[in-house]
Amino acid sequence: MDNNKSIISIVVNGVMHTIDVKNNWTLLKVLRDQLGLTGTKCGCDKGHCGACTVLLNGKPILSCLTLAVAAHEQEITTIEGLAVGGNLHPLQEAFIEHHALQCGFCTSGMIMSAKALLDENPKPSEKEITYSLRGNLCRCGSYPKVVKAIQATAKKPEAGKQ
Amino acid sequence: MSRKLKEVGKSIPLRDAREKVNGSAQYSADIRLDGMLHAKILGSPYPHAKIKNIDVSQAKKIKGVVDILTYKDTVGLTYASVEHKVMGVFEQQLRYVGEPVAVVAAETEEIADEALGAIKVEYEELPAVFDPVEGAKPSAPKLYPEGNIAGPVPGEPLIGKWGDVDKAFREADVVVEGVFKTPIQPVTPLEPRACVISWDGKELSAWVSTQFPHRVKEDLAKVLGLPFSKISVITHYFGGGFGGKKQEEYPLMAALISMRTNRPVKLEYSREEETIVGRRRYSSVGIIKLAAKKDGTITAIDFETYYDVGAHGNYVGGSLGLLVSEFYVYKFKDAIFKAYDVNTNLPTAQPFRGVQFPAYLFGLEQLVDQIAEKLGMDPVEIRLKNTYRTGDKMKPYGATLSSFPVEECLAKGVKASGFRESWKGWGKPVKAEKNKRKGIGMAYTMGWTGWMEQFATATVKVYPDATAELITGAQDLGTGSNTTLSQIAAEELGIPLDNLKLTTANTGLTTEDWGSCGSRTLYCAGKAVVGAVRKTKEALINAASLQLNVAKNDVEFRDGALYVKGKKIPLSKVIKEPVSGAYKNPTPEMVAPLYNAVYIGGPLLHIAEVEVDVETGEITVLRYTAVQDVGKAINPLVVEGQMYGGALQGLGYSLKEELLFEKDSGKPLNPDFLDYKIYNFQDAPLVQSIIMESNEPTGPFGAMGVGEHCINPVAGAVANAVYNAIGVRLYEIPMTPERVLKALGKI
Repeated sequence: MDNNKSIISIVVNGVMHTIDVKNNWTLLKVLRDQLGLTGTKCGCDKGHCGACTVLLNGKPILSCLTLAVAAHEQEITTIEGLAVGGNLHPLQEAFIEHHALQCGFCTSGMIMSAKALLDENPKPSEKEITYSLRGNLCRCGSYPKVVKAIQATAKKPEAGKQ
Repeated sequence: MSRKLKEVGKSIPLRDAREKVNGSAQYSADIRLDGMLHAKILGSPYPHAKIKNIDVSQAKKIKGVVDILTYKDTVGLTYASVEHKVMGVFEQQLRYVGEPVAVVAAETEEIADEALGAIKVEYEELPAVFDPVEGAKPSAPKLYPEGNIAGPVPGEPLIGKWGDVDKAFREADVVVEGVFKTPIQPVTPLEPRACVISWDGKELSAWVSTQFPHRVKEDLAKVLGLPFSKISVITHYFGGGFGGKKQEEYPLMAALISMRTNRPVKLEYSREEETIVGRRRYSSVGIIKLAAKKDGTITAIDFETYYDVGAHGNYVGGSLGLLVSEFYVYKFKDAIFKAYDVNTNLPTAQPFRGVQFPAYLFGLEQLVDQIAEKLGMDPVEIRLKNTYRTGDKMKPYGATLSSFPVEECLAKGVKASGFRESWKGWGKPVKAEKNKRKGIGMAYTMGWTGWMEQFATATVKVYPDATAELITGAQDLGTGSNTTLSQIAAEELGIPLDNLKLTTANTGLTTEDWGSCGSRTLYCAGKAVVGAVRKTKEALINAASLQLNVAKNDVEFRDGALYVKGKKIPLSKVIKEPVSGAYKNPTPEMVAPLYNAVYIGGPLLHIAEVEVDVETGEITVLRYTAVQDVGKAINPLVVEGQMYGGALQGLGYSLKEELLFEKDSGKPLNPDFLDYKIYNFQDAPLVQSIIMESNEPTGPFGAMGVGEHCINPVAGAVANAVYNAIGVRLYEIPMTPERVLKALGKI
């Protein structure tokens, strides 16, 4: 085996993948280029913009700063994994309803950060929301409506249980 | 409008929101094709240099490298962007650090990256210039044989004048002036520019992140020597443009490689390339002087500005709007506008949201306040005294101003912002406590919509089952126009939005459009949509008249059905196949080239309340109110999003954003989000957006475009608020703590 390569097993959105990766490949690259999960976006590839946020064992991480090999035998959730059987996650519904997106490029990362927040803190204050999402940049100007969407989701009884 | 509106005016969610929240929306960089090559750009290390020789032989030997493109392969291949100078696909003379020198296409990105390092380039360094005032001097290093001034007449400044300015200043009771400086603001959409281009031996499919898909098609046709009919430019999802993403070199490079290799090619900018090779706003130095009479009448303006338009920019990215759009805001009896659009060895500028107006109003609105202060006038009063009003003939060519309810706009802003409660008068801050000073200030302007109205078309098709299809070439650049144009079509047809299919974002399938810019999309394409629906209705009525043997006057089409003398007849009884109508907006009446006879744009007022820490120099925006006449909010949530986004970009421009370059090398210092800070969730100020609806008589359902102008007054409003707080004016943005402390004489 090439010294620069590894075989890793990762569970992505509940499906196990065993794949060859180069040791220096990021998780973002593997998700997008090898698994075709292009819902996770590359806005900077340097960990500055948050567009590539996914969940690793339920915690939000920047997939552009995470090596794929570091995700070996771990569970990853991407934006494609939130809807269940065609039913959108309450956060996704709330983002639609509250117009919490414009161009939509930062949206996947925002929703994943918000999901991680609500999983940990089902009733966050506005301050807690803006603190948790401070690493997710948007240039169109969706911030206040994203906050509203997250607050609306948190108010629903089923929030955080998905 | 007698009928109650069912779709227009409703805050329905974006029609493509589901795809955007579930990750299935495919942006250009998400396109994956079999056998796709990955292309990477080698950028110039010098701000100004000529390539003496370039040797790609070693790079080509690297396993997995498939093609390398340099200026040698593209001699004579140029494209003529609407918004900057004619450019070669590659230039042999490199005019900024980062300018593409070569593109490598390889089996993987990593191989392409490796090969970039193996390209040997011999450069002849040339003297460089980075400052527009310096660059305009005859002694400056020349970027172009004709010199660095990139006006409509090369080498000459752009001049607009009327009346007798000298006399006005001689006879003035009050004269105010200032030199105002504004920074380079890159566009920084979250989506870096990207394309995937595929030549299949017969046709070219080009997925490009562009606001101007039809213009990109023309560039591809010219450079590749292909007929238009063989090219489709596709932009299904677009990650923000703000004016920056239009016609550029990278799709042309990728397309050339695709045709040479018969393989699909992906070329995606890094964040740094997005900032540098992508387009940005000019920086400027503006010298503005106003003359006024004792009663507060502003009589004249003398405006001289130097716009740094970078390596390949021209007057379109600098001064053009000042001279074509007529939005001078105030009724200057005498005026001279003199603008130098200057090429420098910095990245290329082109129109970015608001174009020259954010800089113009940063100066102008501070000077208007200065006149008011000298005369002891109220800041609202002086604006009302000098503004244009509905029906006025505007300088210089006598265009008539359409609906313009300025009193209402100012009254709403004053009320919503609590201005009267906060404002203590000239020289008195809102509050002073320890080291904190609070101040309030305003800036006022007019919008503009309808640019290139005649280049907007639509086709509507109605099926026998009373569902319909709208086909439009208007590109949604993230503003929600796919949704708002659909609302307009559904409303005019009288069918539920769910029964309307939208076909767009593919030049191979859609009708022509100029491109999305300048707040033209909703207004121009919206009018074309209404026109196309009306044509379709006519065709349906004709069909019914023939089929049912009734007079046309006895037939009407509403709510998706035909009515004969009031009796409903299902469409399926009349038509067995779809009926369609196509429409192109007529060319509007003009008063001069590029000047429409009717000026369409509403008033805007922005009011900022800030707190300045006089020890640290930090400015905090406490409250920000934006009022804008949008004619009719087709979708209020979409309008709010535009107004907030524009204000936020303007606040960034005012307070924190500035792309910096190393002094002598011209190397960018902060091209990524770590060092170039845009607002985030935590520090973004709240903005109260007040939508005003004056029902613009020429607009589709009374609507006008929204997104362009909501950035324009911001720097002026913030600067006036800062002055109210600390009693010292700032003449340069961003108003960083350092600049505040300097203005206060503390450092």
